[in-house]
Amino acid sequence: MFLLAGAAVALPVFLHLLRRNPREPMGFPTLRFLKSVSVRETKRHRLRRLLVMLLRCLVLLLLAAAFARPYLPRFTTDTGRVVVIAIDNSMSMQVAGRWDRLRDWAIEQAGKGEPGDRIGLMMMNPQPSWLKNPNTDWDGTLLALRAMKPGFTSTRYAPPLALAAEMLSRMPAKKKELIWMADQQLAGWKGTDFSKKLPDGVSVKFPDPLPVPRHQAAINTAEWDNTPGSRGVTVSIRSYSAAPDVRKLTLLSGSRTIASRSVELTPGAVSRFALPAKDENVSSSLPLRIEMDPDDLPADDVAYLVRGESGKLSVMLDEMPSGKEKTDYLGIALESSLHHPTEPVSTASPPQNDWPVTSVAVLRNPDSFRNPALRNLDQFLNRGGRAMIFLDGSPAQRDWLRGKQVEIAGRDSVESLRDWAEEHTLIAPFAKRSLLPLLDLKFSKCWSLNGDSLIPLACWSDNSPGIAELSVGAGKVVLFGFEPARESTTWPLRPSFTPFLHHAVVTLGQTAAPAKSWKVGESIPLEGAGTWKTLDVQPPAPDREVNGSVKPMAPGIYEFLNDSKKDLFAVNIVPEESDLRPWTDGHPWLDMVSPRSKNVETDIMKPLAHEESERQLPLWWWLLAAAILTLLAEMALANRTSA
Amino acid sequence: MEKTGQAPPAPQDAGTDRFLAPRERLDLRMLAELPDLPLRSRYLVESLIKSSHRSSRRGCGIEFSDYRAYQAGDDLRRVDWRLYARADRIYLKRFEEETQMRLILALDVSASMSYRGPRATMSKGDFARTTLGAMAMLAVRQNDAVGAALVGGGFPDYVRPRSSSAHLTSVFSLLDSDRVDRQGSFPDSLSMLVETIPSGSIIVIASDFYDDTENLGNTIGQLRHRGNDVIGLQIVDPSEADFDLETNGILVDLETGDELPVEPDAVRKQYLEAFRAFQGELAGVFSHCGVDLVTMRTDESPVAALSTYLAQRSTRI
Repeated sequence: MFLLAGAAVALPVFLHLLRRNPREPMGFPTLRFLKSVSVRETKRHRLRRLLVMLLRCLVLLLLAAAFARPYLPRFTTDTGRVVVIAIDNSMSMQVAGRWDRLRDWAIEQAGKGEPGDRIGLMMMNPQPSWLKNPNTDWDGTLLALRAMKPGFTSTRYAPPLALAAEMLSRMPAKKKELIWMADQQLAGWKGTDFSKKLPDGVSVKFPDPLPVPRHQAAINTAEWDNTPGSRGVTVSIRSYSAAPDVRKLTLLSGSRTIASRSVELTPGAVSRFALPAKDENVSSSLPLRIEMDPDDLPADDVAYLVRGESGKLSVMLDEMPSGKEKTDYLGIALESSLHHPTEPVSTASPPQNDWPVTSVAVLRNPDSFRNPALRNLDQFLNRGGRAMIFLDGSPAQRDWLRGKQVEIAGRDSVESLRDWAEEHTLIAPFAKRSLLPLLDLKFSKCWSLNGDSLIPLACWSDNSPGIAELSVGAGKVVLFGFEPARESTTWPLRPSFTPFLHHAVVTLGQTAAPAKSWKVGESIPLEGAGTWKTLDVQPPAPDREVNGSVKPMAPGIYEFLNDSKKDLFAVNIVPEESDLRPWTDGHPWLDMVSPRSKNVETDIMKPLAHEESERQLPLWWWLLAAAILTLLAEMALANRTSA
Repeated sequence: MEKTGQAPPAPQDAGTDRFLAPRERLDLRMLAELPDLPLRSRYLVESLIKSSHRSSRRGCGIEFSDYRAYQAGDDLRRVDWRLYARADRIYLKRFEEETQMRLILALDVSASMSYRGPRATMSKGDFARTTLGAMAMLAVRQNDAVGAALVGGGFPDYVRPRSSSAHLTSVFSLLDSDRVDRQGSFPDSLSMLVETIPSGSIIVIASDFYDDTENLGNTIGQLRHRGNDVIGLQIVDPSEADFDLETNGILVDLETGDELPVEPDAVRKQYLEAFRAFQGELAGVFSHCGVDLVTMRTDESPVAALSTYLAQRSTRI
């Protein structure tokens, strides 16, 4: 916009041309006083006028440029050396001796810094970030590296490599080195596009992949089994060793040992072992710790477990639509689930406000899609609630579904449901035994569902979804394209209705209940603000105030306290990180380094980033100052030419 | 000692028309619009204060002046015999003689005199003619003999001096001639008059003197050597004096026809320096010859310059 103002240079040019008067002959008594100076002075004067015009143009151009704040790439002659050490601080680096060995290698590669050289530390995990920005305190930075310890997160090499190389390439230096302090874990390089070249001018020093430890196994999962008679913890352990291994497995509650046994691990396989806790109080909410004899990587030989509350699942069932048949098959089926031996379900009407997200809403009444119930439903789903909705084709339902980009269309013929999604958690238990009870159901009044965001669970004869899953906000909805009434379908009278309904409610309820077990680096959602405490974490960390969520970076048992409640959280390591196998298929990462960068000192004249250029050179002020000086020169010269 | 006329009045103000009362101030625009030279000259004369001048020659007048001792060969009729009877010494009586003065008006008719700038009411030539005509009219009123000459590049036109009123017509006729000389040298043309003009004349030369100053000095020296009094009237146009031309253009030399592209703004300073240097050089030449030089701008009243000159002249006599 401002650069367009530069077109104003046409004005002084026009004025200059306007002043060129026609050359008319004029009589004069004598030219004796002019001849000696006229030609010379006239030429000089013409030159001055031309200069005045150019100065005026320059003033306008400088002003336009100053206000436009143009980006002028600043080129710099790079000098000195800049080194960045990218540190793999993942759990795999905790293998005995691995961290010290790679750290010493990195320090040796960095060498001694000359005056003006800069060095920085970049941590790879959980996201690439500067531990120390590139600075001239060479010894101080290396001291910080010596004081550092590896963490518990998993590794992804591609993002930190690309970021470190990119940032190095932007730094003004003659020699740019990236020292890759990583154990070259196979899992770290997984998914890396080795054909993608790093920027020119950056040389990278990679270490050789480290050998696999001989003695390595990891606890993958630990689950509390509350089944009467077999109450205890089921532990899943994977062995990465080449030879069979015998370990001692111990279950502890606080400092008290509950159970202990020896287990034999099969090389390269996952083994499941039960640790019975017959004497343990079922209602105890104390967290559990499962320990295995430590191996070369002790961090994954411990697992933590918090038992969930064994309460009934709550279902919010709205009222039967008025004017329909009197038998509430849905209500009867849900009430029968109250007496389920392991997964009882209690049914109640939805509250006036604040539907609890731990409950499952089962809706079939059009009034549930009108305010104020509709407002509660939307809030419930946005907060992560789960719901089952039976369609009746009412305008209120249609409007609500239309807002979720779902259209429904009534079907005229008697239909059956087929193409059941056997892998889906709702269907899988039935598919494991037999789907036949679900295939011979008849639907005389039904609707097909249409929408891009739907996940079909079962379809009508024309392959349009009849039952589908839909995500709404943080919540989830299972849509049934029929009414749970005998006039619409034969299903309520069939034996499969109650088990299906119970399983669906329980499955949805389990996904709705807040998880008690998390992985290192995951963001744990919390209800409001409170205090986050470490109960069983090595090393212990001080309490801190959190609000909404927290991201623990070490495994252990944590406690969240707020005004209303107290929650325990078990945080375990990411199982993939226990796989210490190195990349064995050559050294493809070497291909990522530009051939022009390998062991070559670069003195490429390269532009700085826009922001960097503008920060280093306040172009705005220089242009304005130049405009003012030019204006002063123009005024002085213009005075001389017009005198 | 005043014989006729009046003494010059005391200056009334320091302006250009300081010898004129306010009601007598000259209207240059009106002067320029008068139809012919006699009228313009008369108008100028009426505006000019009359002055008289003494004769520098002694002879047979009626006013006693002083005595001088007798020398052999003196006319015995001038011996004061009564004094001889009383003092026994022979003295001659000397008288102041009221004689006719011969005034020769020389007008430069070179092409440069025809220039009239945008601010002037008349050309340099017309301005000079009017001024000289007024002087001729003044001289006739005082019974002086008046002659005129047109001097340019060629042979000069000349009217011999006479004191009759009828002769004034011939003088005006010559001055009002439309002769313009584009070639030749003004000093050379003037030098042709040296032998023609009777000795003891007052020669008033009206010109811009844009010529070789050394040659001009020689010619004026010749005139002075023959016992003439010379007065130089340098006529300049205001555009020449100030060089305030407003437009760029090609200047054409009126005498040589040479052309020169000029931007006045660019060369004004250098022009004025050169012009002033020439003025100084010209004043030096005239001063060296013992001749007064009066510079007259065509946008200013000639009366003041004439009066000033006549007053100075009167005190010198």
